[in-house]
Amino acid sequence: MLSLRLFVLFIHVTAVIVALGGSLFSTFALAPVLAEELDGASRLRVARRVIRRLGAIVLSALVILVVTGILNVMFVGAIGPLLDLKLSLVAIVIILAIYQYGTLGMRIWRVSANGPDPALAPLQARFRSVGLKVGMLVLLIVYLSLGLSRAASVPLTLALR
Amino acid sequence: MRQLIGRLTQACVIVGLLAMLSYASGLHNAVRMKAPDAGAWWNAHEFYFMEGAATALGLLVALRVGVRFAAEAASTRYLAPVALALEAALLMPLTHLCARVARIGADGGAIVAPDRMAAYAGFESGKMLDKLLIAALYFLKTVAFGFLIGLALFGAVLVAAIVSARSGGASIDARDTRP
Repeated sequence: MLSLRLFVLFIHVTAVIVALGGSLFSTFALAPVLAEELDGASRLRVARRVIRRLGAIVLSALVILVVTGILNVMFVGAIGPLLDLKLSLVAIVIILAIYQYGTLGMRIWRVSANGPDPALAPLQARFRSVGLKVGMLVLLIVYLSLGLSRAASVPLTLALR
Repeated sequence: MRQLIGRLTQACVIVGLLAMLSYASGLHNAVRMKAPDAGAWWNAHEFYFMEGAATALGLLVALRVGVRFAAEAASTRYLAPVALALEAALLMPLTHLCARVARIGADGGAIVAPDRMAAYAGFESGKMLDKLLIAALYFLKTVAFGFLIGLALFGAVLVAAIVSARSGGASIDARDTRP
């Protein structure tokens, strides 16, 4: 019941929940409420803090995902085409997250350092767009993971149906 | 900094490919004929050179990708050097880890490549080609896992940069930006 393998899997799944849940909450719950309830300057102050904290949380979760994921591969002891595809998507997700927080997030902070700026709107729209792409890719990875853990012997074409 | 990373990447490619080809083709025998001690040393270490160069290559490519995609954060002076120093410090344990994971094979499926190569190129050449194929796949898989771990390492350094980031000379924390 309580094994290292199960513990690593638990941390892995928790990291997925944190990474995906945080991004979805920010995009679909927090951002619309901020837009409706707060004036421009206050909204910007809150958004700056949210982006910073969310960046640290999401990137940390992705780092934990990679570490626990590699441990999981060692526990499973097999690398098939489905896992190859999943690992490729993981690499793309991390690169997108690095772009989202390392370029767009930092640029938003820099531009908004002195209050509202007209250049912020397109940056924030791009930030949300990249965040949504990351979220969708993570969902696809979760689906592939289910294919790996629940239908390990099923071929790729069947697992993707 | 980018130039240094580029040079290190080139060095890893050269060392890795040389060690891989040497391991696959038994090049150490040629070295043994000229200098027996050097040949024996190379024979004992070529595989580790291949693993180490492959892991370092993956880590460095990840660092280059990270620096490119985190352009704004990478403009801070310490991000790339810290990531590079971290990778250098962790190279040995990461080499063991990547090499171990890269040894894990695909699940199932008949092994047809050696037979086909032997059918086309003859037994001796097929045997050598098979060893070359195995070494090349192992090298590529080690690079791939090194790349993935390198991205994670860069992400960890980026988290530190985000937490401690300042923009326009002021802290990005709202407490410091309130009027």
